Amino acid sequence: MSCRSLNLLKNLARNANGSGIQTRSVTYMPRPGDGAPRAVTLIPGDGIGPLVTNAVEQVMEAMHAPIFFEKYDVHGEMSRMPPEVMESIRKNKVCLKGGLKTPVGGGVSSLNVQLRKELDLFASLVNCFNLPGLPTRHENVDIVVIRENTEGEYAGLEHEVVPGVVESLKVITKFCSERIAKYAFEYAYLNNRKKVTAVHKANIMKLADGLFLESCREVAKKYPSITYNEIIVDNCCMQLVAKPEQFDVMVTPNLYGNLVANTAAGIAGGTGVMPGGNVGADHAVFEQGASAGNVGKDKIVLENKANPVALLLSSAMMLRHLQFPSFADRLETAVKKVIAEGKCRTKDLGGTSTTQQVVDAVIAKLD
Amino acid sequence: MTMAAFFARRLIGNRSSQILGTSSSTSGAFISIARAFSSSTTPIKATLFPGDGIGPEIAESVKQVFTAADVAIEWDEHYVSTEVDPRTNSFLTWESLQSVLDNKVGLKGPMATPIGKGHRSLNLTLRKELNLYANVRPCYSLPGYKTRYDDVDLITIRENTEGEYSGLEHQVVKGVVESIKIITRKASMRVAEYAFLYAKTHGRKKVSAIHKANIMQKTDGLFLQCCDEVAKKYPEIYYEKVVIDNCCMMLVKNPALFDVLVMPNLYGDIISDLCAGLVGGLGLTPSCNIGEDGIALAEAVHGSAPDIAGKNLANPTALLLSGVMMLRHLKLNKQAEQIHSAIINTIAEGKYRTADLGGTSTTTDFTKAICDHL
Repeated sequence: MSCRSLNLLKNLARNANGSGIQTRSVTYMPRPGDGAPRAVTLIPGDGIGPLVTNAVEQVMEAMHAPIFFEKYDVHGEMSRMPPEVMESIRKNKVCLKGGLKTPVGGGVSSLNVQLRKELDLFASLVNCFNLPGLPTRHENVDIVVIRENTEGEYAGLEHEVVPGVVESLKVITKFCSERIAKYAFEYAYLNNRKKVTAVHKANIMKLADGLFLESCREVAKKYPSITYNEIIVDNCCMQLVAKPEQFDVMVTPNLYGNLVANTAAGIAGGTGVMPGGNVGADHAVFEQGASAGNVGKDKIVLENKANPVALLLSSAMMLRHLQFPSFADRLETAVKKVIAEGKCRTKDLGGTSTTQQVVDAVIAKLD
Repeated sequence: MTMAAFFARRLIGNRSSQILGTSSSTSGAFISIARAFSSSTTPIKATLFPGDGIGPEIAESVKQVFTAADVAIEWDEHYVSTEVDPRTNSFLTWESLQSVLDNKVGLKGPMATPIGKGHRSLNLTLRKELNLYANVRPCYSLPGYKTRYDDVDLITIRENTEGEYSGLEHQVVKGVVESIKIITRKASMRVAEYAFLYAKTHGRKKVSAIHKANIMQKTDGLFLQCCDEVAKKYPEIYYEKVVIDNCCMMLVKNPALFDVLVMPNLYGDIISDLCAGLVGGLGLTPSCNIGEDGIALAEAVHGSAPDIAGKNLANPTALLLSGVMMLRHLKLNKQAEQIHSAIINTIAEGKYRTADLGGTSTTTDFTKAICDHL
């Protein structure tokens, strides 16, 4: 008789908790003063940038997150990042950015690349995973692509030898390869990931990618509990579309990383939902994981149908980086619930909502 | 293009194109005129490289199917030798290369490059000696073989000679390596011309140039310029430029958005393999390399699979479909279509499928089924 009443009491207690939302993990103990609001540089950018960064601002406001944004107006046509923006980022150490449009074929070097080089943000991270409730052709995708962000093919060293012949230099150094490999393994270790795959084309570019692989192998030896393997980039893309569940963490040089990250983002749901960021020894810049086709189409901007989910999830990453884990959890849970429900989705996910509608839905789901 | 010219060409042989001053497109016409004359009498000579591993078995399949379809081709078989030929500095003999240059068409099975130094890789030898500048790979969903993507129907055309694969690397100081990517106007124009010509002759509506010119402004910028120029000459074909990362994303989300893709070497390598993955892998993908003077070398891009060699388990589809591409190049469209339909129907039926497609048939059974469907 007592067993039955005990069970009844247990059931009552469980139901009182609410329809099985989150069970709280053991509490996070901050240092006194950790709750003071942190300044974060905000760069809305071009195209869909202002729309999605506005979305983040609204949600942060609704959560009363200990963040305040210092907004700066930067556009892709500028030849350099304005010095006051760089000052602000160096002071705040963290920045949230919409996209900056790079004019194709023009004489202006990409501001995104400039920012990364100046702040030495050598690791770019994109997390591609299936969101529950969002149907895609592939299941069980949970890939993190860690891409070397400063050298490789994007060194920007090009010249015309004679009219009609142009050369571009791809530079690979041991220093950069080593530090990205170290970051990748460290990430895997700290996030309980089991496997790191190095993506390369060393059968053709024997010296360049060979050096990259050497560095990865050396670092792999120091993490014996993490499985390490290598894959050639064309085979990698083929495997990604056939069997993406075999990949866990991938570490790549600059160009392949761009392609692999976009492919992985595409199979997991599109660039509209994948979070990502760039991190260096001292600074971190969070932005949409994979590039939205050089800041998205104009029509989407006009109709306000840009998908804010990617930047919202990136801002959750940012909140964790700033050590505000419970705000990050709340934001993520709210976003995931909105996607799982399926009622409020922007055009790229097959729905018809506007950005503002998605934001309102997320705010409504915040607890 | 008279009968006299045709005989003169056969007499003079290889150097006819220089003597008679024809361009590459008209030498294609030459071949079609040659066809008209030799339909019942002289068969066309084509070089066949069976290759290694499963190569000989699948080459046998191709020969059987072609004979069953009454294709008047005389195969000139060449094998990779076991010693390095000093004239070519590789395992491919001078005679093999001359044969392709003479016959203008060839079909190549998988070749395993022997490991070691002192010789060029086989593929590199073929590419350089035959000046194969464009690699054409049609990728279409095979009805009856279900993958996650059903509506793929695109063609990737990849520049095959320069770009990132020039092989020019050096160590500047210890720990710093440079690799040079070269883009020339000549090579880019060649491949762009071929891409648009292909689109026109095969009734394709759209050509997309894939690039990363927002970052690599001069190199990919030059490639784009060349594509732009050629596009102006074909106003009826819709031309667009797509950044490669966006292209990757669109391909995995909605491959039906693309039709013909033209790109420089590295991107082409990655994208063409990605597209092969969309339709079922390299075991089903045909491919054809186009060289100057109308040379076409169709090849199966999969490996030589030494573990199943000689066991009658190999899937000959890739080599067969490449053979079909070769026939289309020779303008033998009727027979190409026949064989193509036979292959598609056999796979669609599902009764005879080799192990890699999830079935239990042997190579010979599969081949026989195709011959029956003709």
